[in-house]
Amino acid sequence: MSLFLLKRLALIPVSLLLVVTLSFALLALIPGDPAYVIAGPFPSDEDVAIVQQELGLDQPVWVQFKTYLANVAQGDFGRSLYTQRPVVEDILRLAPNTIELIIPSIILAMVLGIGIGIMAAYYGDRSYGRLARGVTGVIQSTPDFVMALLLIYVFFFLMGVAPAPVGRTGLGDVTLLRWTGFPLVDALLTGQWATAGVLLRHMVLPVLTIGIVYSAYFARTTRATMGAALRSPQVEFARANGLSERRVVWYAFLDARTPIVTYSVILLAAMSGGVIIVETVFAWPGIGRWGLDSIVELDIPAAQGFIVVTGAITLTLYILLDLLTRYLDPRVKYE
Amino acid sequence: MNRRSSAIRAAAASALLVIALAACQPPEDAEEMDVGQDASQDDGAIEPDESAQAGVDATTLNYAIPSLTDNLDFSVAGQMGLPWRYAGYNFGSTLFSYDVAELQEQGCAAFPEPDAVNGELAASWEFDAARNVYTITLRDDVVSAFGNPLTTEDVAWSVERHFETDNSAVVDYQLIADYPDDPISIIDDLTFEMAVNSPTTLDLGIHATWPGHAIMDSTKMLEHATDDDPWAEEWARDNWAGFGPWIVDDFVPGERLVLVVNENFYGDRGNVERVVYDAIPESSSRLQLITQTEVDIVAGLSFDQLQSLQGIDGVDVSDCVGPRRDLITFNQEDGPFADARVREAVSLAIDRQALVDGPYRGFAAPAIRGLHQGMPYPDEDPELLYDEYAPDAAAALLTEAGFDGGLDEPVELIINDARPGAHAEDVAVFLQGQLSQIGIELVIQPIASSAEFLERWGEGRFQAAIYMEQPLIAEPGTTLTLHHLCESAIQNVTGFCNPNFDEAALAVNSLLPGAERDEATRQAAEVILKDNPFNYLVDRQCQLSVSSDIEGYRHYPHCELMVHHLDM
Repeated sequence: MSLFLLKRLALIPVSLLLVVTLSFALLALIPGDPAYVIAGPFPSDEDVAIVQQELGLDQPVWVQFKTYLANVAQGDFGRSLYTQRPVVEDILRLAPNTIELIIPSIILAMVLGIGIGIMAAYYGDRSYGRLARGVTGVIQSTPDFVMALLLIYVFFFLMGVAPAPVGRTGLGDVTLLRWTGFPLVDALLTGQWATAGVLLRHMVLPVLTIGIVYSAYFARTTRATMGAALRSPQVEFARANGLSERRVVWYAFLDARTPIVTYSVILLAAMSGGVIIVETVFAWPGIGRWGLDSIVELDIPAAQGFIVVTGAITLTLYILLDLLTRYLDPRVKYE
Repeated sequence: MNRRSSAIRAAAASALLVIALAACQPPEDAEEMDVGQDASQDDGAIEPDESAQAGVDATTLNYAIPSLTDNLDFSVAGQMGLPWRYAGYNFGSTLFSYDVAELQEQGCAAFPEPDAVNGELAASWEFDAARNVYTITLRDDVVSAFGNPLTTEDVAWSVERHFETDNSAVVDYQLIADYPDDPISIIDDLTFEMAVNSPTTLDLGIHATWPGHAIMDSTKMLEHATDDDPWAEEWARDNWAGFGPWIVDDFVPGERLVLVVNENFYGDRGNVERVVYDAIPESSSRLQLITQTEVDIVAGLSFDQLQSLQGIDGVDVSDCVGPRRDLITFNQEDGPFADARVREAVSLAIDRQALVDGPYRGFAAPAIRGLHQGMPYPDEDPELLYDEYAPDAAAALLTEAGFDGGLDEPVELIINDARPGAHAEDVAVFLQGQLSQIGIELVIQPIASSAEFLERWGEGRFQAAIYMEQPLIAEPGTTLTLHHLCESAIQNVTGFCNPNFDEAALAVNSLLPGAERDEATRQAAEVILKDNPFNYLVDRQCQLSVSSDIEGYRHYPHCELMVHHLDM
């Protein structure tokens, strides 16, 4: 196990290097020159050339790449071409907001989806089973931006019970003591209960949006794996021994949980790049929107920083998934 | 493991966690921040606790905008277009401004004369006989939020900073006006001379139009200057040291900007004590915020959203004259559009009124003149107007040019939301339909990246493009020299060249207001109408959705509010 872990950890920098190289090459192929934006609203050719020189954009791509790699090796991800802010600063500011959004969202999606999936699997073609399948189908066919706008319209606009979709806090000031950089965590740890309440209230709709939308995928996965587990010989044997249905369902879930956990980690890794549409609709200051803007506007240092960070998170999560899978099911071997 | 021992273990773990949470306190040096980022707190700035309480008590104006700058240094941020514009003008601290309060509908219906400036930081000014040297005296009652009085050193340092760090400033100072490299000469603490190579209409007006020309508190800025950063750009990213009506209380880059009253401000103001700019990217959210009265002002709504707000109680939609013009243009270096008759045919084939009624929902005016119709202009001459919509005449003109039945090849039309806005695609589809009637097939090519779009625009790598002309100020000299001069245009992207136009436009830019300038303006406008270097579509207006409770609203030619005049 230790050797397995060490081998996987050793692969992270190699994998990241490949990701950085590939992404740098792809970004270089995207048409457009940010110097035309940075040089001002009415740039002359000379103005553009000056900006290109200042930002190193006039260098060959391989020279830019070499310089970038050398800086990254020293922990310097460079500065945004547009804002001149250190990329690391932006990442540290925005990533906690995304993490505080996606973790409760995944948990909600799992709870909802597993519940619906178990219902669908257990009741099969009976009414509850059909209801569960119907709900799954409806949710799965609803895009996340539709869900978001619907929730805002109903709970904020019509009913007035949800706060305005204006980001993590309301339109007034909320001041925190910074400790970990995660706003909700900091508010809870420092006893700023009013602030924590504001943060939690503003999380409700975006978490509901993501949680409901992604619950459908958990539901389908759970239904498939639970359906097979409920028909397995061991479950049949458990019933034959007179165990309660609750215990039988629990045993079936234990048998079916590995794919569900696998899916949740994969989803978490995918979301680590941010849930862009939800971030946009709710004005959530997350890393997804920032990363997308960086790529579209060819803010190369910011885009590369985004790719490296999300790549590192993804690789780490996959290693954790391998370990977790092996713990949940000792029959799994990777060597 | 039996159930009882599991429960005991869980209870023990929970108890330990609660004790740990109760015992945890942040370290003494924990920083204070707003959500997302800790804005750099500086000497003299309001402490967060005070700010929070001030926020509760102050008359606060909430302003929802599509995007907010990431950088408070206007030398950098000013390059980035709209995200900066929404808040940037309110920092003030300029030598001059335009007084729109006395204009028709407080500036809503008419632009000010470009040389009719009021003093802001400048108390008085005069010029020599040749008008090559302005002698300007500063107000003696101006103090920055950091307690430093305004002096001519601040002016000299700020202007030098503009030249060194701001590409736009160089364009303004030396292409729109005609300043030398080092225009400022200090006479004493409050008096300085400002030299120009030759007088133009906007010698003083450029200081009233662009907050990138703001005068900074150089004493404060220099405290944060280093050898590597002599202009304090690092500090200026998150801080503002000017002499205007506001100081920065909180800044979360790209998300929120909170301004509070500069108690040392010299000018008159309304009762707004605090302004909160929130970046809300989703326009439907901004629409809901204004209808639910959660915010007081909203910018950046689409035309159909603005239309939906009309008639809603508690919300006013202001629709005022603005300097921008939307246009379609074509590469004129070769191909069919090198022929002026083909471009004129395009102009005749576009029903501008229908365009305004359609995609613009009435929130624009059909372009009727070679120059923006709101500009100070020579007397209206029927020959100086765009011809009416006449597709038959357009088709006949194409035939005369040798394109009987239209063009053989489709024309790629590039568009981007950055310019003219989110309605670009609607406009493109409309034009596609209109021009198809005369046999010109437009193939719409949306460009997602503004960087790519502006690169292609700047290099002239397009067949056709929809664009928004956005001059610094609605003033003929500026507009005429931006795009259409043969050699010396700031940005000639179409390849258009007409020596008659050059002669007239350069005269407009160099002459002072009077009959001679009016005649040159007329000649230049006539060339635009006939030769169509750009096919102007509409004269844009400025729209804001404002709570009906707000008074004291003045409409500035840059389309943004100066909120310190407002009363709530």
